[in-house]
Amino acid sequence: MTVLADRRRARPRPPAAPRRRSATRTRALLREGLLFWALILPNLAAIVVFGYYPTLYNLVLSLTDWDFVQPAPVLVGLDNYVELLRPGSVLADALRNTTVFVLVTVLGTMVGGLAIGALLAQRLRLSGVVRTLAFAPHMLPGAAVGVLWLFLFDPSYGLSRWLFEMVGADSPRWTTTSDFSLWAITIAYAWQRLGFVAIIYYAAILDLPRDLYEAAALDGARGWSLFRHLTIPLLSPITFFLTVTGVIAAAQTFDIIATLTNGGPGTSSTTLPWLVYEQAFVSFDIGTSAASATVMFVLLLVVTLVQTRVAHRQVHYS
Amino acid sequence: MHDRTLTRRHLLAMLGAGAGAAALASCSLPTAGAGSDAGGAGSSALRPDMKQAALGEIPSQYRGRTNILFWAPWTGHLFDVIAEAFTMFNDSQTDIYAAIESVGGYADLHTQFTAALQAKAVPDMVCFPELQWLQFYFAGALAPLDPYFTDEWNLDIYLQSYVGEGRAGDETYVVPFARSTPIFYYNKTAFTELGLPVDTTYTWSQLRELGPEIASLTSSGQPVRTFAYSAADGWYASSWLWAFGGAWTDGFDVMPDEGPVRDLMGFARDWVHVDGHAYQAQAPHTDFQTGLVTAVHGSTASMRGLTEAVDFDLGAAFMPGEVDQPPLVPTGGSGFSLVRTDSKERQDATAELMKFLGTPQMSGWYHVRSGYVPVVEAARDEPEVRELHATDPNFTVAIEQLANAQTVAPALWFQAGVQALEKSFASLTGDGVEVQPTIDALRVELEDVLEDNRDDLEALGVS
Amino acid sequence: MTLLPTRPVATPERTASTQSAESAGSAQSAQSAESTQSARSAQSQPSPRERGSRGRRRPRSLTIGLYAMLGLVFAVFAVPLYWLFSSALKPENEIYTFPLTWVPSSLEWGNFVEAWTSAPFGAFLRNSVITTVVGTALEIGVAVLSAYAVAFVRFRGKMLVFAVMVGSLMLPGHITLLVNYITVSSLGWLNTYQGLILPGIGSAFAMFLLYQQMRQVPGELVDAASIDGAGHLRRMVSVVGPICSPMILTATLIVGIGKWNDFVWPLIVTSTADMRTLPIGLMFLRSQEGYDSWGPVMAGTVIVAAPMLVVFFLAQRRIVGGIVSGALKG
Repeated sequence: MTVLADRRRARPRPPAAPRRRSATRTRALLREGLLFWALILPNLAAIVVFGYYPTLYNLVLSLTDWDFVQPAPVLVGLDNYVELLRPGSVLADALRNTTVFVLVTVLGTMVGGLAIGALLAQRLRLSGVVRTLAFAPHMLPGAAVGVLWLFLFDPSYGLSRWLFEMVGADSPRWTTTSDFSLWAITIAYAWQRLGFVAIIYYAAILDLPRDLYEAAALDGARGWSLFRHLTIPLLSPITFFLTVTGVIAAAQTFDIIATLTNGGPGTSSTTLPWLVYEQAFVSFDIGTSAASATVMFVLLLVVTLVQTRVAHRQVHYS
Repeated sequence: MHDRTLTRRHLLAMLGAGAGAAALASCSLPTAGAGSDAGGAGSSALRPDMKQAALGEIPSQYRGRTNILFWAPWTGHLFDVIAEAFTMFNDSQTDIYAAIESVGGYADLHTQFTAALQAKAVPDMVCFPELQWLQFYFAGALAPLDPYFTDEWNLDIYLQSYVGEGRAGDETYVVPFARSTPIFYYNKTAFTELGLPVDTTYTWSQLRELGPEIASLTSSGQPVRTFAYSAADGWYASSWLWAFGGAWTDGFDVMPDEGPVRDLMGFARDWVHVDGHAYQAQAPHTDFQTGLVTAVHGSTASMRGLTEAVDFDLGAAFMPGEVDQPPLVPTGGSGFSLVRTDSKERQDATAELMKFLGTPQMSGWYHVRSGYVPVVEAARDEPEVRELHATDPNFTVAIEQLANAQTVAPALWFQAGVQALEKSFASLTGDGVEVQPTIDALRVELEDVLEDNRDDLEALGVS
Repeated sequence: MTLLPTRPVATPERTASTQSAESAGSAQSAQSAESTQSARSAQSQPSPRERGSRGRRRPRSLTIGLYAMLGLVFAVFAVPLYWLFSSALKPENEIYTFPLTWVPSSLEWGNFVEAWTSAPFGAFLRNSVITTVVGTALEIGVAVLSAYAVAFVRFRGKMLVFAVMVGSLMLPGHITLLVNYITVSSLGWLNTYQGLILPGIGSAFAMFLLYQQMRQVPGELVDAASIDGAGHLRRMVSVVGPICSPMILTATLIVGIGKWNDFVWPLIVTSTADMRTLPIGLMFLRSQEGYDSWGPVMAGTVIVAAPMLVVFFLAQRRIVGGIVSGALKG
């Protein structure tokens, strides 16, 4: 089961065009070339103009000090980075929060999703309904999820109070206390993503080759050992896919934070994307925001590359 | 900020450094020395590169007029009121159509307007709180209003307490409109029920002592709390500290006397985390309305909204004192400023709008429907206003408190300073952090704000 | 319990969704059947109809346990969604009360009216529709063209260009925000549809999905068409297009949903209520209504969530199938 698009294998080898020096042939090739560019240019242009160019110019901006109001940015070299990379800076806070947020949501949804996916793959009635409900949150706009959970987390009138009073405690003040705000966005986001992961695992489990299982069962393997030594390795391509996309998606979550906590109180629920936005569009510290964005970019890149490397070793292909 | 651009230096030089001392008691900004043909207006009041921002749909009955745009920093009820005032203006004449957009709150307006300056698509009129218009004045974004003053419409008709805050150099950049002072709102019904004093002034310690008694009432299954803080109490914090006998800054000195600050912070923290009778609410006014808490503070601008929303007797008092009684309170709210754009015609039209809203009738009308102080002196004699004051004295509290109102400390003239203060108190009341580290961190942040804006402040006479 | 993959039997209670998710795997084989060449290497795919061959019966206690867990899972997803809809219909006094009122005593449709009038939802809806429809059409159109170019047009450096474009998937959205904002504002496109839509139409993701699909179109078909004299454009429209249309549809759905839910870009590019999209409008509604009107705010949330939910229920099979097959084959 190939999950990774192995670029090397994907490159098709076009049949070698016989190099005849006829004018028509050259003209035909030229036409193909022009057609290629004509077809690809819109997409390519958009990607370059709104993707690559901003990334590069952002790098330049990160070396300046600007507040949007003054006519032009002022070059200050690496000052912004020095400020940001000090221990105890807002970036340090945001990094810490983002790491916790990503780890908890990715691990939580993977483990939970696998369990739920496996559960759904059992022959149980009405699991179809559950499957639909599980996937639905993923479809909702993040803003809707954020506002909904804001209500559910209300310590006086929300579901949170009901749940906590059932065990005889007071509901924590989710969005107004530093201790809990990060957990608030984590829970809301995990809820949104959990069903998505579960359904993917569910489909993947259904796809597992039965003959392997039968063979293993004949050899006397049972229950947990089957799961551990057969299911999990077989699912590793999916796991890899979900982990990589999960990390990238979690690290870029923004709308839930904007509607639920606004990054606060203080910086307790500020993650990297929120920091980048706030520094640019609330504090108008353009240089610092650009620097934060660059740091975020580099980190994500490194993390993804590391994951890919790990995957090459761990992921099993059929 | 490090380097200033040439234009800015130019502006500041024209303001004249070394101006007179800040006359805080009369809440007026120091006027520059002689020789300044004043900052922004030395150059013309027009900026050809500033176009008008998007207007939205124009109702058919108003088509074909000069269109002007106002970005309102209000939402909900307050926005509805000002929108109605605009409709009255539009219906009262046929030359101008004034469009109004809600952009959220003051912080949102700051964000949007800065972005608008960058994008060169701006509204014609804006409404900044207290002294936050200064940043935009220095950026050359505002036009002076003096050329538009007439016999009927000029600075003399307004409450003088608010006038000074709108001037820089010899020129006026802001006319008062939605001005306020903070008010201590309490549940009079609950207080009376418990036999507690009403219709008086309170001290913080006194309120703290009332905690257990108030907690004997319950609401929605919880004991009722005495007071609700919020995460955005920066404005009120000025009054708190003045009540405890301290000051946030004195010139460029941050917290010259830490004693009162320690007392204040310790008090807030302990009231929440030791006594448990105060707390930090996500939405203090909601909890107040639903009866979860017996007192909150709010701007006098909430007066109308709260009066209609609560189902108990609303009490409104001066802000609580402590060492000083009654305490000084900060002036608040906002006034209108004219934006420098590419069209004199639109600027003239905007001045007309300001004139309309500055008549005693409209000022009184706005006061009755919102709770903001009637900024035009003559408005208090309007029949509508007189009647309101007779039947609901709550609306007079802010006016009376004006005698104790003064401008906030310079560090708080900037969003960054306000936010630093808010964060400190949010941590104290929300998380219960230690007092001394909070003071130390706050000191650093306020000092940074003052340093960043040293040149501007010195030009204004702060020392 | 062995967590053995059970092949669900063709039982009557199976809903369309069941079919969709399972057939995600076999949608693959179905498409391969359409094209004569099966690209997938042998992967045992027992048909959905095959009865499970396990003779083992599940012990009763285990069954009860499983159903209990299923119930718990159901609750985790259903309860918040229930609260969303029920609070939207509750009168205010039943929201601001404790103990909680689980079932509204009367349906307060007024909440929806209040939400709709307190913020210009008509405008929000219109803007969301325009930006989603136009943006998706542009993005998919552009992706189809570029995928075709890479798959079928002869050009020496095409894989390099492809790699460059796919490389853009590594760029997190937030690094481009600031500069795109500056670009758009200097073009005067703030608060305009072009400003909202255009920066989002370049996407390597859709192109990549479509490219993978196009690669599986059997070469013979394409060659046959070219021999018949059809130029590239003709081939694209009459041969490749129809074969890939399921994937194009799926990609359209996925891209469309993403655009509808887009948040941070509309947030910074629009400042007037007139131009906001639904997700931003919801935030705006919340700041307008404050915290003392959860009823209308929940009603507004329902308004914002409803279109996506409707699309989901209608096209569940496609959406889930598309995402799943995208995941399974990477």
